[in-house]
Amino acid sequence: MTFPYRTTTFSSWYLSLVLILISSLNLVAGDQRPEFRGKYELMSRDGHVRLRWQAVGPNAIYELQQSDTPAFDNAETIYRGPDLATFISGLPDGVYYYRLRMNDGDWSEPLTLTVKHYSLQLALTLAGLGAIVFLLTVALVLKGTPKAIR
Amino acid sequence: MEHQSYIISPEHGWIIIAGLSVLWIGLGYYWGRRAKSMDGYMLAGRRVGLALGTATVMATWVTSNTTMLAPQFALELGIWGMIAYSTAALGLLLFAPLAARIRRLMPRGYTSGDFIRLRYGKPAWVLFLLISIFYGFIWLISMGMAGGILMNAIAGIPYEIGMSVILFVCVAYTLFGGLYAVIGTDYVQSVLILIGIVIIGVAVFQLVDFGTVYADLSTDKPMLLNALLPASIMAVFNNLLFGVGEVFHSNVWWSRVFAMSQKAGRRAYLIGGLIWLPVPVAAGFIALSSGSIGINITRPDMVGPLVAANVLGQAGAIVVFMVFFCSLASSLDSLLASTSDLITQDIYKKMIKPQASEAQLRKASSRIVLGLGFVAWIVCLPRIGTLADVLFFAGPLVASTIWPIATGLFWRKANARGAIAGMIAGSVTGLVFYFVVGWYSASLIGAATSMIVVVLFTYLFPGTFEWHKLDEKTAASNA
Repeated sequence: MTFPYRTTTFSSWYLSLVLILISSLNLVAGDQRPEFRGKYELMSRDGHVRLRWQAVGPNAIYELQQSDTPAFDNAETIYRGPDLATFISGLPDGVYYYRLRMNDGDWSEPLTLTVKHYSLQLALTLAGLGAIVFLLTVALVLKGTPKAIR
Repeated sequence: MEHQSYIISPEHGWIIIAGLSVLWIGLGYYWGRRAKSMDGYMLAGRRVGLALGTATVMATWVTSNTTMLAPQFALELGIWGMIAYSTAALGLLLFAPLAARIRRLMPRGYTSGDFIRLRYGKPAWVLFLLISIFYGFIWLISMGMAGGILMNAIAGIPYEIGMSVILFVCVAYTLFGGLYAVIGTDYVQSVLILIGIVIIGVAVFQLVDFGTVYADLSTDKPMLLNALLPASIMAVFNNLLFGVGEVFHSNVWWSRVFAMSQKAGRRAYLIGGLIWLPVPVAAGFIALSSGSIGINITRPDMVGPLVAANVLGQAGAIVVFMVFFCSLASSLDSLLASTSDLITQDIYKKMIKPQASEAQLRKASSRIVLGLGFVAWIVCLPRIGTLADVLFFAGPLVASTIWPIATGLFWRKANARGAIAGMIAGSVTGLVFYFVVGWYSASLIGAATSMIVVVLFTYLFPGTFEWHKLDEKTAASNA
C-alpha cells in the first residue's frame, strides 16, 4: 500500500507542480503589461515628446493610445507595431494621457504629459533681438565688402 | 534597439559600407600621393579651383546634420523649423566676402587660429582655440553618433559597430591624403549626394500628396502648421546665428579659403550656399510627410532616413544609405583634417615645438588625426542624446565669435579686450539661456551679448591695427 500511496502522493505533487508552473506562466503571460521607461509625469515646452517602453517578449505587438481624459474616453491608437518607442510632436497646450498594451493584453499604467508652450511674448522678443543682431552683422559685412574684394 | 523594423538587411548594409569604404580609402591614398609638402597636406597646394571649391563647400555643409537634423527640425518645429534650418545657408553666403578679405590679408595663412593670434594676441588666441577645438570635437562626436544611429536604424547594424566603421574609414583616408584626399572625396561625395537627393525628392513628391500631408498635419500635429509656435519662432534666428558662428570661426571653412584662390573662394562660398539652401527644405518636407505615410518614428533624428528609405523601398533604401554615408564621410573627413591642422599649427608648432621640420609637423598631424578619431570613438560609444542636444550645446560658444571675427577683419579699431570679453560674455550668457530656456535661444543670446560687448569695447578702447601684420611671413621676411 505504501507504494501506491507514495505514487499517488508523488503524482499529486508532480501534477500540482506542473499546474502551478502552467498557471504561473499563464499569470505571467496575462500580466505581461508593458511599462513606459522613465517618468510617468512629463512636461513639454515645445509640444513634442518621445515615449519609450520596455520590451516584454519576442514577437510582441504593442499598441499605444492617446487621450485627453484620464478615463481614456475617445482614445486614439497612435501606434501599433513592434517598435519600443515613438515620437509625438505638434501638440497644442493641454494635458494628454497615454497607455500601452501588448498583443491586446492589459493596459499599462497611464502616462501623463502636460504641454505648456513658451510664452509668445518671450519668443517674439528673442526673435526681434536675433533679427537685430543678424541685420547688423549683414551691414558690417556688406559695408566691408568693397574693401574685401578690392 | 528601439526600432525593430529595418529597411534593408544587415548583409546589404555591410556590402554598401564595404564598397564605399574601399572606394574612399583608395581615392584618399591615390590623391594623397600629391601631398609632398605641408602646404600640400594641409591646404591641397593652395591651388583649388572653383568647381572643386564649390563641391567641397557644398558637400561639407551637407552633413549628417542636414540630412538628419533638418528633418528633425521640421518634425519638432514644423514649417518654421524647416525655414530655421535652411537659414544656415546664410552662414556660407555671408562668409563669401570674408573669404575674399581673408585671402587678401593673409595670403600665406594656415588656420583661423593664425588670424586671432595675429589680430588680437595670445590670450584671445588661447580662448578662441578652446572654443574652436571644443566645437570641432562636438561636431565630430555628433557625426560619429549619427553614423552609428543611421546604420542601426536602416540596416540593423549594431550602433557600436556602425559608428566604429565610419570613424575608422574617415580617419584612414584623411591620414593618407590630408586636404587633397578630403577635397577630392568631397567632390565625388557631393555628386552622389546631389543625385541621391534628386532621386529621393522626386520619389517622395510622386508618392505623397501635399493635400493629404496638410490635412493629416492639421488633425494630428496642428502646432507644426502654426506660424506662432513659440519654440520655432525662437529657433529661426537662433539657428541662423549658430550657422553664421559655425562658418565664421571654424577652421573647416578657413582652411578651404587658404586652399582656394581669392576669386574662387568668394564664388565657391556663394554658389555652395545657394545650392545648399533648398536641401533642408526638401529634407524637412520628407519629415512632415511621415505621419501620412504611416511610419513610426522612434527617434526624431532618424525621421529623414526612415521616411526616405520607406518611400523608396528596398532598392531606393540603398540609395538613401549611400547618400547618408557620403554626407557623413564628407563632413567627418573635413573635421578631422581641419581640427588636426588647428592643433598642429596653433598648438604643436606655435606653443610646443616652434622649430619643427616639415617631416615632424606631418608626423604630428598624422598622430593628431589618429588621436582625434580614437577620442571621438570613446566618447561616441555611449549614445549621449539626440544630435540636437549634442550639437547645440556648442552653439553659444561659436555664436560669441561672430563679432570678434567680423570686426577683426573690417575694423581697425576692434581690439583684443573687446574680443576676449565678447567671447567670454557671449558664451556664459548663452549657456545660461541654454539651461534655463533651452537651446532655442542659446546661440542667439550668445551672439547678441558678444556683439554688444565688442561694440562697447571698440568705442571705449579704440585700437589702431595695421592690416599688414596679418601677413605673418611677409612681415617676418621684411623684418
